[in-house]
Amino acid sequence: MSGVRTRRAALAIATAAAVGLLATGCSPAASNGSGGSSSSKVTINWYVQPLNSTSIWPDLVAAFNKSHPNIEVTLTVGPTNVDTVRGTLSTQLGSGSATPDVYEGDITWPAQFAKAGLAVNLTKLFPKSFWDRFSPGAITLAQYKGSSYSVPSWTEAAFLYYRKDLLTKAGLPVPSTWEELVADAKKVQATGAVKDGYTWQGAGYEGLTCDFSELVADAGGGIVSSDYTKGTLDSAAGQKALAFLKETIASGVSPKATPTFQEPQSLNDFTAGNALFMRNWSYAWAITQDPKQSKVVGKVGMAPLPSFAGQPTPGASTNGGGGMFINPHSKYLKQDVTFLTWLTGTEAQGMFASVGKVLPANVQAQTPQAQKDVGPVGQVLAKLKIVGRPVGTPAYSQVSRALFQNVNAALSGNASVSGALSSADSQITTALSSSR
Amino acid sequence: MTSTSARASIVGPPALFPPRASRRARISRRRGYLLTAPALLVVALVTLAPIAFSVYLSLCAVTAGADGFDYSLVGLRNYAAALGSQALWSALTFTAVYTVVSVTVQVVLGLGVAIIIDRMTRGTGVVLALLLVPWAMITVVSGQLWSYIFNGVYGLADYLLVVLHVVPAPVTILSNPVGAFVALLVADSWKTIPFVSLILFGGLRTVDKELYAAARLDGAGGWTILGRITIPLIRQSLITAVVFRVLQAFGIFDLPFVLTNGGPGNATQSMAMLAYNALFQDLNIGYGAAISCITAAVVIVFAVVFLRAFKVEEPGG
Amino acid sequence: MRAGTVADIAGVAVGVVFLLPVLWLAVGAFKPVSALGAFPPELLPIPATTSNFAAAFATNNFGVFLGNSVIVGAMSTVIVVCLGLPAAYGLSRTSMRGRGGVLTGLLVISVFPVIVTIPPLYVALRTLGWLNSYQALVLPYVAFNLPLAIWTMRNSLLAVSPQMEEAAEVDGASLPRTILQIIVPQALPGIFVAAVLTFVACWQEFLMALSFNSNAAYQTAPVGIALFGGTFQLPYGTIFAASLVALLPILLLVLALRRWVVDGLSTGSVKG
Repeated sequence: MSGVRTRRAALAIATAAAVGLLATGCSPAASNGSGGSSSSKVTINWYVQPLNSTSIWPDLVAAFNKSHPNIEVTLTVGPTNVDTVRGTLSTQLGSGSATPDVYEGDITWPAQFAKAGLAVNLTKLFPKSFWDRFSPGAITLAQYKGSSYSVPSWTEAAFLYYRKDLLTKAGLPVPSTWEELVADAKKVQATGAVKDGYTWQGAGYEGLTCDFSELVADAGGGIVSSDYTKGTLDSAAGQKALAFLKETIASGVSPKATPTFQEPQSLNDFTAGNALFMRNWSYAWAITQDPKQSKVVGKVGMAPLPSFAGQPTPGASTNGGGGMFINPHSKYLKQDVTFLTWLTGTEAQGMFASVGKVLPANVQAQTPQAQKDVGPVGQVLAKLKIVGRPVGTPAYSQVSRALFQNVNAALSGNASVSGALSSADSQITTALSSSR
Repeated sequence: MTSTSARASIVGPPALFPPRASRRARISRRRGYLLTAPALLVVALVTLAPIAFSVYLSLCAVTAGADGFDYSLVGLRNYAAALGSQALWSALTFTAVYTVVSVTVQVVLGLGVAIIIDRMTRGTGVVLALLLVPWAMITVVSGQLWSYIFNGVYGLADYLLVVLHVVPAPVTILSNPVGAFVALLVADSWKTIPFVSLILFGGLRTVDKELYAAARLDGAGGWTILGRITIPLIRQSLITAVVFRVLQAFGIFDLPFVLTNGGPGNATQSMAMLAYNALFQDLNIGYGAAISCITAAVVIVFAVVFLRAFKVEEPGG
Repeated sequence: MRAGTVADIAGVAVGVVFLLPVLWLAVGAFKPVSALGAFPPELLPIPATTSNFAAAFATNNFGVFLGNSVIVGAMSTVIVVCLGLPAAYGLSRTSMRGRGGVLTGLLVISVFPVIVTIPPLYVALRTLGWLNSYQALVLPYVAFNLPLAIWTMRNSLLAVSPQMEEAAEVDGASLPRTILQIIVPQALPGIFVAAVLTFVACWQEFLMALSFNSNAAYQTAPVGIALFGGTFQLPYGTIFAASLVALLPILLLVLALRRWVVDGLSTGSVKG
């Protein structure tokens, strides 16, 4: 026996194994693993992301299982990082796994998952009347090429948080334009009451895309052309937005470290009592009111985000939140539909507000009681001008990355305003053209 | 003769039994196959198939069909797209520069630490255990610990810089390319110098201490002993440390992922992050596989060249 | 004597320097949430709180993840040493052909980004019915850690003098006996290094652990930590508390092996 022959044998084994893998990779899964074939009871697996410190997911599962003796939902909770979730889910679903049957996904996923064959076309599965329970805007965001791929479950939006106490003391109203916000911030900073005027999310990640798309919309522009063929950032609106954000840092209104800020850092600055204003999502409310985590309990107000002077108010707010998708390889589509119909019904949606402290996606469940359950978020939400991100393209992740990397480079002083925007545009255009 | 000693540098000293003793050599050879086979079989079965599969993927356009995925061969299109993108070249540049700088720093300091531990008379085990703490820390957590330390608002790093009068007021270390690079280097070195030291310590332990004493009697200084005795004798361990550190550094992912997310801009975006983005964010499987294969190819070229270079340098004996 | 004392002091100093960031982690683990973001930072956690540990272990069940990590890490390490040591012997002490090729090949395998190997491995494990089990992690961990382990153990075997072995050979000792009684004691530092590196690598691995075991009953510590908090929340306190405890098994492992390996060596190994 020679070394050469051993190597050849090893290679043959490896090739055989690889071919075997390919074959299984192409066909849908044969095994499911979940039992219950003998009786009529069916087990479906539900994959969600951690929402917050409440017990919303297990509570929902318990309530469903109690009222549905023939279906048992089991819960799998994934990691907090949304991209890690996307990676593991695409591995599982893409390999033809029958579980999870139903999974929670980000608001930016429908087009991408539809194109990649990772989600079921729901328009065919649900009766037309089912969709009446959601706002038209939420339905549009979950569609790709005219079909729905995700069932909206709870919503989230961006707000302006402000220090009630300090604005009252300075005799200032809540600002409705960005120019007022900067002027107010400088005034209060000059008194020494706070170190920072306005704190937001400037790190190179998805959150910057949200912050920036709001300002571009306020200035009358957009990120991509309406037919999704090219980037439109290097425009008067884009330049105005970026110049404004740069100026907040340069003038000392926003902390110097803003280009490294994600939500936790900006929230931390605000709850430590260092900042007058903050842009953040609705989840932040509960934390600003928790005495264990916040020094500004009872001193915080919420309002719609401002707009630029001369533009209609309020300014644009990005929305977020979770939607439920169905695995194309799920063996129990009927039960999946039953579960999702229940999950978006008024009983479960009420639990999202009362237990989970987030706003339900079902408009019928957005009752005064629900608004009370989630705090001032509920009252302000109705006044917001929601502007979605350009999620209609399967290449959204590349569009967003082109935006946040270039804008972050400009914010941290490593690129010029127009250089960053034109570079972002060309990357966006390339991404859009390759995804068609 | 020359061929034997040249081979020795990578394979080690000449085999126990010289080729002349043909029966013994045959037994020895058979033993070699027998002893190596189980390990090689496990490695081959578990790793070769996936690697072959991903090379195949890199040549495919992966699209979704009614019954799962459809793999259609597209030749080198993914490679052409990757090599034509500016992002790949900036990631490759960052990764290469980072690898050279970090491995140099870590191997030099790691050798120093290993020599110190090797010379300790008491408490070696305790110090070894302390050293292993950074290496043992879950990488994502050490990324989070350092992002907490380098935080631009309440970070300990800024506090210390201000207290020590290095800077007048807190600076934002992570928002300029050089600062971000240095922060990565510090966090990474903290974690990997112990790894290097441990491997080199393993080598130093096998060096006969009497050699040092003899050299000192001959009047050799510290640096001479280091260059003439220590380094040549732990050469195999040094090669192992350098090679594996280069592999790890070239694949650096967790630290920039947590600490800088590739920023500012894309100044610290590594090759592995590029592959992660393509695979996990863009679900662009063929493209992501191509980037991974390019990364692997670069490192393989390095490994082969490096090992060859060391083989050639070996004096005849 | 004096050189040794200098080295002792320097060694302790090095150990302390490397420990400093961990001390900061420990301080953070005992701080209440509100103190974690204070500037200037409070250098000591006064008043100290154990709420972060409660959050990690009582609320998030971190103990289960930790237990799984110990099981998976220990199993993988034992198998790696059992398979790797004979291989290292074969690659350093026998005249088998293709040693250089095998060593380089092992390197090439460790080069490959783990991330692309996950989808095919996932399919293979599902076909075997091994998803959500300990072996789902032990098998890939063994395969991916064998290369470095073999290289490290081979290095220490190369340094062992072949004379004793030849003597044993002449005395008619069997090969396994020769390896166990003659080789292993001398190669202990290398085996120790290989074992520690393997255990630590398993201890940290995240992507495979997350992808192959979605059932919390089989998930390991890094996955457990990734579940803390929420999408926009980074609970430093909980993460630090959990990580602090997660360091203990490694420390105990090294300290337990210390006497056996490090101390035993400096006195025991007398070479001709």
